[in-house]
Amino acid sequence: MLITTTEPPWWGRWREADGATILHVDLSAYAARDALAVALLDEAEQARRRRLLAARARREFALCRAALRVVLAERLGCDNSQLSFGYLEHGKPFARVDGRRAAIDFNVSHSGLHGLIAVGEHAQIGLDVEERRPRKDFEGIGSLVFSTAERQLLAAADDRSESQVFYRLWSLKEALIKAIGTGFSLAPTGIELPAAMLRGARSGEYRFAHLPAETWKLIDLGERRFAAALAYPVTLP
Amino acid sequence: MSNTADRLGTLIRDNLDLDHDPDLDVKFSDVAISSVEAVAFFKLVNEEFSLGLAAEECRQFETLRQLVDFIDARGG
Repeated sequence: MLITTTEPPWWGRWREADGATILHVDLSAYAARDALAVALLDEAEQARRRRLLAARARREFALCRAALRVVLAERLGCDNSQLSFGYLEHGKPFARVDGRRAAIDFNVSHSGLHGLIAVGEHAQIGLDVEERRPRKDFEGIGSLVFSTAERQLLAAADDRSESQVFYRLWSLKEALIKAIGTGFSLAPTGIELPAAMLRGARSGEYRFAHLPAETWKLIDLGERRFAAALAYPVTLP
Repeated sequence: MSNTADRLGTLIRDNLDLDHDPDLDVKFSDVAISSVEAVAFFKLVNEEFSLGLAAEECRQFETLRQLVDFIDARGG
């Protein structure tokens, strides 16, 4: 165990989903936790943390990255000091042990007081969590990222359900985009979520137009506190 | 600051929940706003400057200065 003080972990197992373990990270402001988390980061991560302008962003980064370090070190049977992280072209991180890429994938997302970490053997995990923060412009934002069918679904929602619909669609789409690791270099309006999921199904399969041989599993993890989704490939060439 | 930078600064102060003033040369990744906030802000920039850019086009801008330069090159 890497945390040796009496401070209890600020993360815990939240749920299992098709071979991926998903942990919930408590991002509440708490100075003792922050100090412990920062102490677990390596030099590159501490520099990254210092570059973040907002105290909130520094706290979220440190708490999530430290929790990720502990979880990965346990899964990989290594010491925290052996772990480092590399980044793919569009910023998706991967783990290294003693400089070699580790055979494990993970993805991290946070929103408000909630962080989620997915860890598993799947090749490319994508995870997103969104607190359902009230906004005045759901349809306007949706016009930039949602497909025609998704925009119609959002437009049909009444005032009470609009934020539920918006954040569910957003988290599902972002999980897919994070899984494939391209960020918004793919036009998000061209990614239409599975029809069954637009009708409310909790899971479905998706194929990107430019990768017709690959099937991606998409799971709606949303609950009372937040919208969330997980995506990963089920077949790779 | 240019007129464009002033207008962008006003948009940021009025719409983003930041605890610091906007800096032209700070990377957007170091501002660490959420993806929803980023797209919402990009929509406001689109409207303020009549840019008509798609969401996937916003990734070409790493800093506020790059966005200012792009807008100014388009004639503000």
